[in-house]
Amino acid sequence: MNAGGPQEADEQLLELIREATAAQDAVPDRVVDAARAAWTWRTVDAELAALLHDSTADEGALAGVRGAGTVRALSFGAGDHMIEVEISEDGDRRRLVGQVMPAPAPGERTIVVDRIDGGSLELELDELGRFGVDRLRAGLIRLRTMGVDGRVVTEWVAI
Amino acid sequence: MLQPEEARLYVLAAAGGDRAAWDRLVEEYSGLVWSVIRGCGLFGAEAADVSQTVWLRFVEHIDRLRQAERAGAWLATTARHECFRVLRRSGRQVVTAEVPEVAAPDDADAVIEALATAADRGAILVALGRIPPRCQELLRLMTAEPPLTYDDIALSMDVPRGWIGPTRGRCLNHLRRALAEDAAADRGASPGGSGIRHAPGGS
Repeated sequence: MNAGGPQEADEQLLELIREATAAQDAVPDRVVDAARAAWTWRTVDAELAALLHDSTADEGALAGVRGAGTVRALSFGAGDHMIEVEISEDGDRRRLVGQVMPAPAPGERTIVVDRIDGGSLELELDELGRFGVDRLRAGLIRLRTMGVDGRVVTEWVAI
Repeated sequence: MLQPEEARLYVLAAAGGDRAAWDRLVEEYSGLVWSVIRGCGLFGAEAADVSQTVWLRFVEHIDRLRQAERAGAWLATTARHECFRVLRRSGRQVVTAEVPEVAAPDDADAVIEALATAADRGAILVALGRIPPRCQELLRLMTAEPPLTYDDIALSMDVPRGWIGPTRGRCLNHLRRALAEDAAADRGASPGGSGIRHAPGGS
């Protein structure tokens, strides 16, 4: 028996977990570096469009059938502004087809895809606010566009 | 460790554009975020991606946190949420079942005493990986640095505060049982061995 009683025994075991994880499962340096670097993606003066729906994550039970041929649907929203995106997979490449609502004014018909690993891609929107891009590499992305009241940027999402 | 008032000031400074304040927040909480992610069973590149997503979310939301002094709780909650999203997306199950009660084996105390004086604590991590998922989560959160309050843990695990105490006791007994089993298996496999298993190599 532990001399200090059950309470002390529990505390001792928790302390052992603390030591073990600190020594052998500490956060890797590159993960800390990535956290620091997240700062560089700070946007000011843009409205954040939250991820409101993700068909693969929200319809969890069906997610097991995910794979080639399945289309993943995402919806982002900020106020009255919506961005809908459908993503299909082909290995590590992604095809994105989407629409910005309401349709943008002439002169504001662009949407930018930011990639976390560098590089941005500017796409044209048609008069209904539709866009598409093929063979985008898998990874974290976000979308930026002009909304009715100014710039809109979506949350980051892994595609 | 940042006091709540300090955390609030760093969050406000970072929201105002102070890069050094951001770095301080990362220094303070990156280990906590990692503990949550490891606790929900992710490792390697997947765990790294979730961590990055959490910090990107934090940048996005830093100027609209409702309780800036509870940045740690916000990060833990978001990390758990993102973790589950990844698990569901890949069709893995998210277990939220209650933790069954088990008795601690008689020889657990001796095994733990031996571990406490050993230099290598890998056996703890191996045993931790074998207990029920909810226990892995809870024990990781309870031993995260900087420590979370019971209120923070309840918030991030989406459980009532009163759930934590009894479940913690059960989970520690699961861990005692796993440690005793591993030690017995090692004695059987390598007579005269150290009785301590090694954790799979992490980074």
